[in-house]
Amino acid sequence: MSLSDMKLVNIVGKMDDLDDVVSALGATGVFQPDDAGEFFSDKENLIPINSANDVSPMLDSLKEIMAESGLRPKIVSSERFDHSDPDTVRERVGVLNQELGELIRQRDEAEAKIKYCRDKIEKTRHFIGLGIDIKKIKDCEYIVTRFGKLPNDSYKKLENYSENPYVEFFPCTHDGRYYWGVYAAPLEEAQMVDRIFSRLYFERIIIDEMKGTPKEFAAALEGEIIDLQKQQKDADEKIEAYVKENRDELLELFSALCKHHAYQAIKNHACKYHSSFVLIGWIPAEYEGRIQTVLNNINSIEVIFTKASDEPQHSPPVKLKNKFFFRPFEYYTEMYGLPNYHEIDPSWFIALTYTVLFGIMFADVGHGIMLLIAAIYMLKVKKMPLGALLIPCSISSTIFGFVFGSVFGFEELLNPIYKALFGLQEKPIDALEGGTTMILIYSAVGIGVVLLLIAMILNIISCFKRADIGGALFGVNGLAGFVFYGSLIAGLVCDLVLHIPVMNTAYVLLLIVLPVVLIFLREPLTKLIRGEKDVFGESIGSFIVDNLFEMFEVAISYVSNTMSFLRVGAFILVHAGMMKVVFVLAEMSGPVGYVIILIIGNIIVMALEALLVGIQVLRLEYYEMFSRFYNGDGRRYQPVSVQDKID
Amino acid sequence: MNIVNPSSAIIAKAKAKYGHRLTKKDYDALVKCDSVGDVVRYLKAYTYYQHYLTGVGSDIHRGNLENILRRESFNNFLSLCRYRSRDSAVTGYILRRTEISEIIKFCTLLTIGRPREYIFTVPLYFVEHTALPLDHLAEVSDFQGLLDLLEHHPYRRLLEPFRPKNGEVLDISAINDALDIYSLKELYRAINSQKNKDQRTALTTLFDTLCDYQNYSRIMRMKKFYQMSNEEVRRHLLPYGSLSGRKLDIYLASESYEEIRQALADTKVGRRANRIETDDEMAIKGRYDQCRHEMYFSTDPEVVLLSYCIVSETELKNIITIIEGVRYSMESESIAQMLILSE
Repeated sequence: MSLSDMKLVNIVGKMDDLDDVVSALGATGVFQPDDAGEFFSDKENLIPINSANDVSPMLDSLKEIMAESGLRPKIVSSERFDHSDPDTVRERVGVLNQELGELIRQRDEAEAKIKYCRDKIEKTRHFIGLGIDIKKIKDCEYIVTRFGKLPNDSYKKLENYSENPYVEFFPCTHDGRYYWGVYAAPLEEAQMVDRIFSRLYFERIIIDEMKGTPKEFAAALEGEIIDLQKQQKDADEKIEAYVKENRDELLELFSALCKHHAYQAIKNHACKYHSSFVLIGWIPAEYEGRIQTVLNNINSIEVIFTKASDEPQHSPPVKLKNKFFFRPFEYYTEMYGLPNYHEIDPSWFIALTYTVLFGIMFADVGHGIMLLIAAIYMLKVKKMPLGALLIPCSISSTIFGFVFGSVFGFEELLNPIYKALFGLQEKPIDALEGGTTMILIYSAVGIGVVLLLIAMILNIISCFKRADIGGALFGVNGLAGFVFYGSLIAGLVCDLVLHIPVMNTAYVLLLIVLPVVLIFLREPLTKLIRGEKDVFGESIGSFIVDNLFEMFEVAISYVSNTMSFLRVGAFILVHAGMMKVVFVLAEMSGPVGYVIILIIGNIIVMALEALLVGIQVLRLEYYEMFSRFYNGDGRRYQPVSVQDKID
Repeated sequence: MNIVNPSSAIIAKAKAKYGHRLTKKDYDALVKCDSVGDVVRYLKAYTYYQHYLTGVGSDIHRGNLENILRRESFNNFLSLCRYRSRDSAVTGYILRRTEISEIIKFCTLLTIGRPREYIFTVPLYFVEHTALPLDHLAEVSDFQGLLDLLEHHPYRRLLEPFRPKNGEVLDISAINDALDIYSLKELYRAINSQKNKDQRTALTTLFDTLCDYQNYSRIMRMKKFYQMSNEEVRRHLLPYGSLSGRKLDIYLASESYEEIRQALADTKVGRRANRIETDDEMAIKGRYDQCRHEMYFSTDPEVVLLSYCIVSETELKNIITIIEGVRYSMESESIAQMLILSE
C-alpha cells in the first residue's frame, strides 16, 4: 500500500569493462540509468559518453522489411549474434535486407502497376459508351478533340451556345456532379472553343495511351491487371518462403539489435573519468542482491548501493506497489500525477473513498449489477483498465442499492426482504421522503467534513515526511487548519444540532482564533523555525495585505470544499427523481409501451448517471481532497527493457 | 405545438456552425500551400469544408472550386433560413444583396461590351431562389434589353434613370449606390414593421453601425484618393446610420486626411473604425469585427443570422483570396496580408 523502496546504484570501473557492465545491467531489465554527471558538483574531467547509436539505422531497416513481409517482431534468444562483432551483424542484415527487399520491391512494383491500371480503367470507364477508335480521333489533322468532364451547372449553361456550331459537347456518362465526355472543334476555331470550355470549368483528361475504343482499352487493361496480380502472388509466395526459411535468423538478428540498442541507452548515461567510467541508476531495492551477483563477475568495478530516501535531491523514480484491491485505482493516481518519492501514494485513499462515494451516488441494485457486467466485459474483452476499477464501484453500488431499496427504479421491490431479514414494513431509507431528504443532504456534508479532515491528516504526515515543519504545523491544511476546521464544525454541530453549548470564549479563542492567527503567520513562523532572518519579507505592510486576501480565500475554500460534497446527497435524489420520471412516462402508455419505456429509460438513466457520478466523484477526489495533501510531481520508474524496443 | 422556438434554433445552429470557422492555424497552413490541389486537400482533411467538398478531387478547376464553395455557402445560409419566415428582414436583405450583386456584375460586363460572358458566372444555384430571370441575362445585349427583362421587377424603376444617352458609358457606381439605398430602404421598412421592440432596436442598431462603417470608409477614400468636393461626398453616402447633420459637417469640414482620422475618435463606432489602418478595409473589416462581436453576445435570432452570414461570407472571401493567390504563385506573406482576420 505504498511505493516500492528504491536504491541508487553507483558503479565505477575501467572503461574496458563498461560494455560488460552495460550488458549485465541491461539483461536484468530493472535498471533505470540516470545522467551520471548530474550527481557530481565538480564535473571537471567528467565527460559524458554520448556515442552515436550505430545500430539504430540497421534496426529500423530490419523492422521495416519484417513489417512488409508480415513477420511479427518478438524477442528471442540471440546467443548466436550477442557476441558477434558489429560488422558480421551488419553484413547479415545487409544480405537479408537486399534479398528480402528485392522480393518486396517486385511485389510493390506489381501492386503499383495494378493501381495505375485501375486508375486508367476508372478514367476510361467514363467514356465507355464512345464506340470510336480513339487513335483515329487523335490522328485527325484538321479537328482537335478534348476528353474531360464538365460540371453540371456548366453543362446547363451550354444551351446558351446553341447558335454557335463549334461549341458542341458530347456527353458519355454522368456521375451526379460532372458530365464526362468530349468536345471537338476545327483547328482554326480550337483556341476560341478551348477558351469557352475553360471558362465553363471543363477539366481535361489526357488519354494519350488509349488505343482502340474505350471499351477495348478497358478490356486490355483488365487483362494486364490479371497478369500483374499473378506476378504479385508469385512475389508474395517467394517472400513467404524466404521468411519461413530465414525466420529464426531474422528474429535472432532483430533481438540482438534490440539488445544493443537498449544497452546503448544505458551506456549513453555514463560518464568517462580519465580511463574509468561512472554509471549511476536506480533499481527496486529487492533486486539489490541480483544486481550485486551479476556485477560481481566483472573484476575492475566497484558498486555502491544507496537508499533512495537518502538522495531526495535527485528525485528518485517511483514504482507504485499496491494490494490487489487498490491496484486498479493507480490509474487515477497516474492520471493526476505520480507521487514523488517522499509523498504518500494516494491510491489506497482514492480506492476506498471513490468506491464508497460512487456506491452512494449510484445506489441501485439493478444498475449496480448491470455496471458489474459491463465492467467485467470492459476488463476481460476490451482490456480497458477502467473495467478493473469499476468492478468494486459496481459492487458498492449494489450494496448501497440495498440500503436505499432501489432495483431498476422499483422502490418497493425489496420490501419483502427487509421484512424477512429485519422485520421492517418497508425500506429503511426513502430518498424522496421530506425528512429523509434533509438527513441525506446533512449526511453528505458530514461525509465531506470527515474526508477533508482525513485529507488534512494525510497532508500533515506528508509534510513531516518532507521535513516541512512549517507546513505541517501552521499550514492551511496542516495542524492549525485541522484544529480550526474541526473545532468550528464540531462547535457548530454541538451548538446548533445537538444543542450542547461548547462555543465559549476559551473554545473560540484557543481552537478557532489561535489557529487562524497561526495560519496567518505561517510564513514568518516557518522562517523562524528554520532560523532564517527577515521573517516578514519586503515589508510588514505588504505581508499583512497579501495574507489578509489569502485568508479570505482560505475561508472561502473551506466553505466551498465542504459544500461541494452536497452533490453526494444530490445524486441520490437525482436517481430517485429520474426513475420517477421514467415510471410516469411508462405509465402513460400501454403494457408493451410500459416495458419498452422502462427498459430504454433505465438504460438512459444508467448511462447518464454512471458517467456523471464517475466524473463527479473524480472531481471531488482531485479538487477537494488531493489538492489538500498531494503534489503528484513524481517521475515514473522506467527501467531499460529490450522488450520496449519492439515498438 | 412547437417544443423548440424556431428562432432560438437559429441562434444555436448559427453558433454551432460558427464554432467550425477556420482558425489562424488553418489560415497559416493554407497560405503556405503550394498548389490549389494542396488547398483542397487541406480543406478536406482538417476543416469543416470537407462537407462541402465531398467527391471533389484535388485536380479540380480553380473556378469550379470557387463556384462549389459559393454554392455550398449559400445552401448553408438557406439551411438556417428554414427557421425563419421568408419575409424576415435579414433573409430578404441577403437575397436582395445577392440579386443586386448579379445586376452590377452584368452591368459591368455590359459596359465593357461582353454581356454574353455573364453566362460563365451566373450562379445557377441562386436562380430558383430569386424572381429575377438571371439565366436569361446573358441573352441580353444592351441596357434597354436589361430594362425589358426586368419589366416586372422593382429594379427596372431604379435603373431607368441610368439609361445611357448618346453612347455614354454606364455609371456603375451610381447604379450601385441607387440599388444599395433601395435595398437598405426595404430593409429598414421591414425592420420597422416588426412588432417586437427589442428585435427592432437590435436590428436597427446593427445596421446603423454597419452603415456607419461603410460611410466612414467612403469619406476617407473619396477625400484621400479622389479629392471629391463635400457635395459629391454627401451624394455618395448611405442615408442611414448615425452619420448625419452636424456630425457629418464636422467630418467634411476636416481638411486633411489626418484631421478626419482624428475626428473619427468622437464616436464609438468611429473609434473602432479608426483602429483599422487600411481605408479600403475599414468597411469590410469593421463589419466583420462587429458581426463577430454579435456572434458572441447577441441573443436576437435575426442579428445572429445576419452576423453569421457576414462572418462566413468573409471567411469564404478569404478562402477564395488564398485559392487565387496560390494559383498565381504569390508569396504566402502577401496572401496573408490580403486576408480579413480577427485581431
